[in-house]
Amino acid sequence: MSKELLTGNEIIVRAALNAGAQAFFGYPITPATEIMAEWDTFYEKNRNNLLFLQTEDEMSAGFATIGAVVTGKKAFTATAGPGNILMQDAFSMAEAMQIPIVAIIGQRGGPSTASVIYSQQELTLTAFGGNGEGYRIVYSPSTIQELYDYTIKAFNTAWKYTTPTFVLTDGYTLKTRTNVEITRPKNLEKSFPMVLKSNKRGKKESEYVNLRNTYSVEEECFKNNKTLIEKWNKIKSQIEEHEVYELNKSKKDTLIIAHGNVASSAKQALYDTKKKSVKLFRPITVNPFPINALKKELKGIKQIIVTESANNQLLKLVKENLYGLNIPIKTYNKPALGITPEEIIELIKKNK
Amino acid sequence: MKKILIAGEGGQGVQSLSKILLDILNNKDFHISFVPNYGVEQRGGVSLGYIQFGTENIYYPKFLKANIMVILSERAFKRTSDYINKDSIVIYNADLINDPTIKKIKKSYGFTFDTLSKEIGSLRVMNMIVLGTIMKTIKDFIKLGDAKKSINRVFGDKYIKNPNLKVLNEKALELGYNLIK
Repeated sequence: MSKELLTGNEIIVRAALNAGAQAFFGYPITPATEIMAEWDTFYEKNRNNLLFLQTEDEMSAGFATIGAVVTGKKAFTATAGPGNILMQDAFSMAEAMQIPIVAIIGQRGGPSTASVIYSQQELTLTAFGGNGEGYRIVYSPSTIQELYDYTIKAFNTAWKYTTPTFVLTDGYTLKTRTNVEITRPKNLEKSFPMVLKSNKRGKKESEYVNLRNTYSVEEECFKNNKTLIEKWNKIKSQIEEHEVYELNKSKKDTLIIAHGNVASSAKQALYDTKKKSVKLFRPITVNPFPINALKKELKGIKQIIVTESANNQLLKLVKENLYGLNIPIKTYNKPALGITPEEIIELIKKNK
Repeated sequence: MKKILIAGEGGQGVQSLSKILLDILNNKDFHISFVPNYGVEQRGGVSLGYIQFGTENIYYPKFLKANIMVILSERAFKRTSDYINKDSIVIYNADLINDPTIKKIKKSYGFTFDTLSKEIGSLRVMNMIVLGTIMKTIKDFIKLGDAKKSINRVFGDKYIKNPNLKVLNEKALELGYNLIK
């Protein structure tokens, strides 16, 4: 274990390497470009074991990642904003065929090209983009330390459940430089060539599997969708993660719900004000959403405040999952703008 | 926790100054955080560095009010004046900032950073004079020797090509350190 001074982008590459990543395909876009640049540095030193290609665009990067994954490589990609939109074609395919690709999303301002550094407007796109229902796992880490831990976890989850897995972060987190603990993970899921009939490692088998992405008739397509739904319903409770932050166990009347960078800000606010009647609920997996965990935290709660750097994207998930409950929900939205601890302190004061 | 905001023009050395300061603080075993800020332009524009350090966990990389503000150009002053409150210590570049309101700030220190660095021999070392003043402002726990070690670590590669830069940088640092009594 060592403590190093690193940026979020650098930490992601260290995490990927320590999780056994072998290949990266990508196209540069701020604020995620440095992930590619950092991977290139490691690739230049270890060309025998690592793969790297800067493709002609994001669609190609996404499909190249899928290509490497089906041959058994632990491959990943990173993108942001308009790049995330273009990559949805490949992500949708990974979702349909349940291919364990890992993608790092560095949210930047939207809609369209907009601003380069920060937002939380890619939550819906990352979790539900494409022409499907979002059978994909999305982690939303809050700190750079978590960025390290959850990037490693993303590779393990992706291969354990053979499901596309995303690390949803943002430019503030990616560009922040701080000291981080680098620990070597104890257990790593093994990758395997999905295109081979006997896909266990070490077995010599040359018979190929036809991995399908096209269906001739509606019934077949429906069958695949049913399989996807059944799988998702079976695995989601094993994947869901959340965090509750409170200063002590005394009675709470207000619940703040936030994710990622904004949740960090809320934590700082609660810590600074020493406010005992307020707690924070933070979904770590924004998809699948930790609904049962959230419901457990509602006892005695008189009001919910949902705050995000987007206009109601997290709110939609909360409302959908809390349907039928009569607790008033207030919002504090700043699409494409950061929310500082000072603002959340004000927000708590105003809503007393 | 201390919050420092460094603001200047692209090219004034805001980012490398931040990197060195961060290295110094990291070696003092503080919790530290640094996030740069810039717009879509490839070059030019205002360059910002948000630095926080302290003995407690830092959850969020940005802040609204700074304990120490370093402002190196007129445009940077316009952009960041909202970060100043009554307790902020403001260090500014008197060569480039003509706005009279900056002088009215209670705890403000104006220095002719551009002129001073040219006297040493190069405008390039201006940020090291600034670093010296910041070190003095955050109090004496940072020794000049600590800063020199960090500068060496960050600029090591450049020193091989240009050994004279090391001499100039250290001269600039010492000058800045002695500007604030």
